[in-house]
Amino acid sequence: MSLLQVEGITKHFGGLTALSGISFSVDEGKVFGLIGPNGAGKTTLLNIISGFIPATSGDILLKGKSIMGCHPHVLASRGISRTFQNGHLFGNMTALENVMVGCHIRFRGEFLSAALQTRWSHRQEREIYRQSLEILSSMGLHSWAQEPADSLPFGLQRLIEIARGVATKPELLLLDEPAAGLNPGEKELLTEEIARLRNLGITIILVEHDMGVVMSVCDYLVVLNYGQKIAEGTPEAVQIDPEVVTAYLGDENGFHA
Amino acid sequence: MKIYSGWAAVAVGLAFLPVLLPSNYYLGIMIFIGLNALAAMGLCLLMGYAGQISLGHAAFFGLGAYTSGILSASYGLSPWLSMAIAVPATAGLAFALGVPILRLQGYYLAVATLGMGIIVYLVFMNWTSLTGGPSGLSSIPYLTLGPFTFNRDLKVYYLVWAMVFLALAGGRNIVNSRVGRALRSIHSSEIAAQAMGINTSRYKVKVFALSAGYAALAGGLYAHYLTFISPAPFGYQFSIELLVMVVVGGIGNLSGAILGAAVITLLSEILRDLMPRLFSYGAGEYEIVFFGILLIVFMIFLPGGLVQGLEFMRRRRA
Repeated sequence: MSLLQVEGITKHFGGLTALSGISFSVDEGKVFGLIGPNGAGKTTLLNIISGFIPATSGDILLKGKSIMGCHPHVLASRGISRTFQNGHLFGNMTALENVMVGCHIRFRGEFLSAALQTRWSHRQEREIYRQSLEILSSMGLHSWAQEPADSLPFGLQRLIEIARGVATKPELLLLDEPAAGLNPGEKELLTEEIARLRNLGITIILVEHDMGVVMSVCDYLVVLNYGQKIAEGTPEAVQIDPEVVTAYLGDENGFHA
Repeated sequence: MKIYSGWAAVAVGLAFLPVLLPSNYYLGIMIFIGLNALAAMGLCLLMGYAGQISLGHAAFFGLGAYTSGILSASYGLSPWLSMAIAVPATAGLAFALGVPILRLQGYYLAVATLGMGIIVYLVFMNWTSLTGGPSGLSSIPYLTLGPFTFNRDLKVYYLVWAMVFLALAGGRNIVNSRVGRALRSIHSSEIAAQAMGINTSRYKVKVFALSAGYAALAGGLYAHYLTFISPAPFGYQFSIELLVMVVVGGIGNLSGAILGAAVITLLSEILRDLMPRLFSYGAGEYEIVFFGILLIVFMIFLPGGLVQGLEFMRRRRA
């Protein structure tokens, strides 16, 4: 069954049409790749799905229910989490605290119970700590738990951002170019991690330029170009699609994009 | 544990301090340090943790003082009851004001809070029938506890510093909790915080209200200590002073706010004595210039404030 249905999403920025009538559906438990040349509208679409910008028209259904107009924080509690292209770790916190923030929505306790340090809030806090450490350990990141997030190497920061997203216990995790700027070893780790998360039952939408990562981990691909969907299918089928090849490499008359 | 024993030592030191102070004048300064520390801690929660600026916090100090003062002096309510009304009422007002104001960011928020502070000040000045206008509100009753009246500096000193430590403990518990992490995440990246399911606008308004509550508590204690209030101390100048206290102490550190309050209150007292001797005209204005310079110097050379400086020295010796 499809977890997410994108139906005719169109987005205008002033006179520019960033996305026009994009439709596809994302199956549960799959890694869904969203690819396309620069400026194709991939990140815009991700921002619309995660509620950060409104679409001009169209609808998005999560398990059959529309999520259009929902705030990002509401979507997080409905099971959509994400990472960011340019890295938005909380640099003023440790790696562990970052993941603990990810646990936020699954726990309660506001100003008053925190100020009074009730036994209940103490238990909650211990549980948040335990679960966060567990998530870091499962990703092999526990040795960096107490390091300030902004002091860590880029590749680790990316993984910690994913760990933070995982801590929200999402059904759908949106990854925006997680491999950008990583070295080959780090890319391999990332690919393994994405596959592991899929095996845990998390559905993933992956926006990515690195074809090695895309081809090795994605179950299904949608290709965007200039805001249009130009192809979809399995990685093998998309790879040989003439329109996709043209979009990426240009046609015989020279470079296209 | 180490932190707690450190604070226990400070508390014992403060408990015996009055014995060492040569006169009531110094006790009075200690009380003002405590009151300013309360307000500065509130501002620190807002600025240092949630990353939202307020240049109008004197207004909440004043609202706490005036609400409690008016309720007890003009309407005959008991001082504690007046304060118990004044503090949540001020926090509630801040909540309501915060809903529109905290949609703004950066300079816009700074200017909006500055404007808010000036408006409240003008209300104190001009709503004469209620506030007494520029000539102030007098005969505010002392706080009492059964037969015990807080009518001497020594008694108020213990009361105020007990409040400071309670507020510090509560504040520390908050910043080390789920809520505290949410606030810090807003400071660092609001969009990432939202993606983690944190209702950022809600938290900003709540911490604004809490920080106004801290200021109002200080204001209420101030009113019932001096038994007389006038609008002058609650102008924008005091808002700036509170800001300087937070920055000088260490912006991301609640105990830093206490340290900052101590340093700035003492400096202010020294300057009040010194400036008229140096400048025959407008000595009060030079004081704010001095604090402005201090703010710039700290921002450039010690952005983490005195707490960071102390930490640095401690590590070098070790």
